[in-house]
Amino acid sequence: MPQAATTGAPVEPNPHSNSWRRWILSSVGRTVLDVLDTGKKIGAFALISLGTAVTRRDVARNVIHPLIRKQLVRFGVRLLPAVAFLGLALGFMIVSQTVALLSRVGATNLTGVLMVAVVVRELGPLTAALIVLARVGTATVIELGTVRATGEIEALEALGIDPIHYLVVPRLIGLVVSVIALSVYLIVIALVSGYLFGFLQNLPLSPSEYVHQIANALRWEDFVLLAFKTASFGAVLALTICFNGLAQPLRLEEISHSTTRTVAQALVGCVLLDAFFIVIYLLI
Amino acid sequence: MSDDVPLLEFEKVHLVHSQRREVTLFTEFNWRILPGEFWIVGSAQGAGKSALIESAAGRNRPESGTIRLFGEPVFAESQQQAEQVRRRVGLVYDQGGRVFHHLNVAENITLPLRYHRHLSFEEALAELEPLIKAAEIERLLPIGAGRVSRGWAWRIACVRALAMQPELLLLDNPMSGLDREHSRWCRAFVDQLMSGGIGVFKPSAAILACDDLRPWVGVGRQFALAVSGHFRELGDRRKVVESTEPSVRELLERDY
Repeated sequence: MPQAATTGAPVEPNPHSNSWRRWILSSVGRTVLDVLDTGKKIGAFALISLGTAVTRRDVARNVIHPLIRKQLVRFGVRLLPAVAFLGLALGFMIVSQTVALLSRVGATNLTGVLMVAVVVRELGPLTAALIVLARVGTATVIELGTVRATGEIEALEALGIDPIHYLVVPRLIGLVVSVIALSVYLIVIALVSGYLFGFLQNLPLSPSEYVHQIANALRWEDFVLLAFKTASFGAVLALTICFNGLAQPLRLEEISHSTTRTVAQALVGCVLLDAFFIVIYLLI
Repeated sequence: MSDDVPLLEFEKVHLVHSQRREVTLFTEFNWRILPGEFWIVGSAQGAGKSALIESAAGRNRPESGTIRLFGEPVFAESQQQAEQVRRRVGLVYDQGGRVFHHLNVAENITLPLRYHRHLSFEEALAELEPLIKAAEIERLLPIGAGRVSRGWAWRIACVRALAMQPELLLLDNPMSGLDREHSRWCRAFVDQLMSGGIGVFKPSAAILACDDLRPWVGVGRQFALAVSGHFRELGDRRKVVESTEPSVRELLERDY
């Protein structure tokens, strides 16, 4: 029997469980500190990028404006087919899962309300942001990472060209505008396809009633918050992509790791923002 | 700018590696580059040529001391003022000059003029015509810059650096990685540029850092040596050729 037990002195903590606890605490602490540090760096990068976008709005417009148009085509126009496909699928899925239930309880008059709550407020913006991240976000990190790793940033600076102005600002504007536009596009397609699927399922709801339900369910706050939410998603994507691609020294072999890190950070950022907007919806 | 005001001046500069700041490259040294001068800086590989050239371009902040470009301390200025100064300096990196791979050759060389002087693409190309001809890159203009060989990439980077008609030209080990044909062209191009200029493109002064003095002895006007943590002016061509110093002889008689 251990001596401590016979003498009544406090029992020594099990060294194994103590080190295990310490390891968990230090891991959690390290992760939290890393997350805070990354958040701080991306925040600083966001301030620098926004400052550059504002202070240099009239500088080299003949170069920057075509770059913004190019990014709008790349992040927005080229994604229209993918977004249309997902919008159709989203409308079908929501209606197929809910119409039967609503019909059973005689609440088909809530179809429009449900579509607004699910598509307009939640899934539409998030899905559009995730499509952009998957389709062009990762490619952009690789592109910017290569620019960084091959020393082209230094070459730009040597020419007196601000890399933030030339590389980040067009992508920031392009992504914000594209995510807003693609979200609206996806929402409209999901709402229309939802009705079409309901029509095929013999939903006892005329098109005018459906539109009326949606119009009644929508409030002015929905439009304002949709604009803010989608713009925030676009900004989060742009800043995490550009930060991981450009804002830190990078070697060619580190680009793949940087890309996966970007996806994780952008995903967490969008989900946290989504949670924030849910709270706003609940408060208003 | 009057002839007695240095284009570039290093005063008691203590230079460290740009990324590994704990590595000292050159301890306190002074150096003045006046208009009309063409300096060749000989140095062994890894001795700090690139850091020296980058600090001359106002990009690598020294640990201590002052670097003045066109009479103004370049690191004391705001970012926008520093950018203004950098436009008066042309910097060509080694190993293919770091061309922008996402642009084609024409977009690469016209970018500085389109960005800083708001010229249209066609206006910028017209202005650069003498350089394009001298660099023999007419047929490459529509090609993506990532698809050209290192030798051609260096020519493109050279035209790009000269586009803003810089007063001071900095060349970091220009023959590094070039084949014989491009190396010959490189030497002839730099010689032509610094002797009579190419059209309106004629830098007032230039610094060329290299690890092999042989091709440049007949071209440069002033010579310096940067070895073992020390920077030292050697003098003119004759002094270099006649030097018996082992580190100079090594750079003059390299055997590859």
